[in-house]
Amino acid sequence: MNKLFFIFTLFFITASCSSAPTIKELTIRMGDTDNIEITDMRSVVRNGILTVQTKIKNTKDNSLVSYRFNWFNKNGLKVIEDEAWKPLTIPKDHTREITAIAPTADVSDFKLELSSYK
Amino acid sequence: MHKIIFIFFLLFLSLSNCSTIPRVSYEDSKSVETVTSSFGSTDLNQIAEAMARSLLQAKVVSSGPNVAVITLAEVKNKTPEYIDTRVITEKIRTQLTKSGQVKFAVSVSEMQSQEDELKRQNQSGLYKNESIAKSGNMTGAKFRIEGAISSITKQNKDIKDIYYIFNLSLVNTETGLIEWADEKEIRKIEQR
Repeated sequence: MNKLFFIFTLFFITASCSSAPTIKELTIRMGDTDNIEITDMRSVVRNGILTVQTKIKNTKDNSLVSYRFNWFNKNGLKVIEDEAWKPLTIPKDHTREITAIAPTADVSDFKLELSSYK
Repeated sequence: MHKIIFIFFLLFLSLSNCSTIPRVSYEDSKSVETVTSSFGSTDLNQIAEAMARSLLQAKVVSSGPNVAVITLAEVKNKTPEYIDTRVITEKIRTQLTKSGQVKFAVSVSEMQSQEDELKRQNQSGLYKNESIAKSGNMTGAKFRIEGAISSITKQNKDIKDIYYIFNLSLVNTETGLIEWADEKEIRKIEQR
């Protein structure tokens, strides 16, 4: 019985350790981006390269937002220098879909940076 | 009285001169640039990044047994603006080279310097034989990258709307088949 309890606890700990990071954990916000909501974020390895698809919703007035991705290898190191910021205009209550492709095949992790611009 | 007016005039002149001195500061080269609606660094970066990443994911590049050898061909500028398309293709080349999945053979415009260097090493008689880069060993590119950038501009007295479309293709040199193609669209609006 004790053995069963031990196995159950081990399984629970392992499962909680390997849980996928949340959208909030994968997003870095800079400046005033409170009106920007990330409604979906998913990734898949396609032809050996990590691809990320994100849905961004603007909940307030017409908004100019910029974004870029940071790409990391399995050791958590950035694989390239910073990407250029990409502008995006999202009208109020509209959703835009962003697709980003990793720059190298050794990318295993990413973070989305969001910022507003004038 | 005239003297005082003259002094004030001189002071005003010197102060107004001070205010025209340009202020210089360094900015983030990756930030969004919106000084005018004409083709700018943000457009260049967006196009190069989108094209390089898309090409990297193409099966012809990602799944072959050998590293694909590519060369840069012409990207035509079909817009009325002056755009140095060579900068775009070179930026794409840099990003692809950094990925380690492709190799680039010298392009037509770089051929002269390659030829000159081979001639210098092989014909000048100045170099040790074992260190000379031999002629006839260059690698031919299996693919070439070519494309075009076009634009549509519409304007009235208040608004200027510019739409850019950048097309790029990867052509198999031997078969003439287009193995990959993609496009990037950018639309900008300038309001007075």
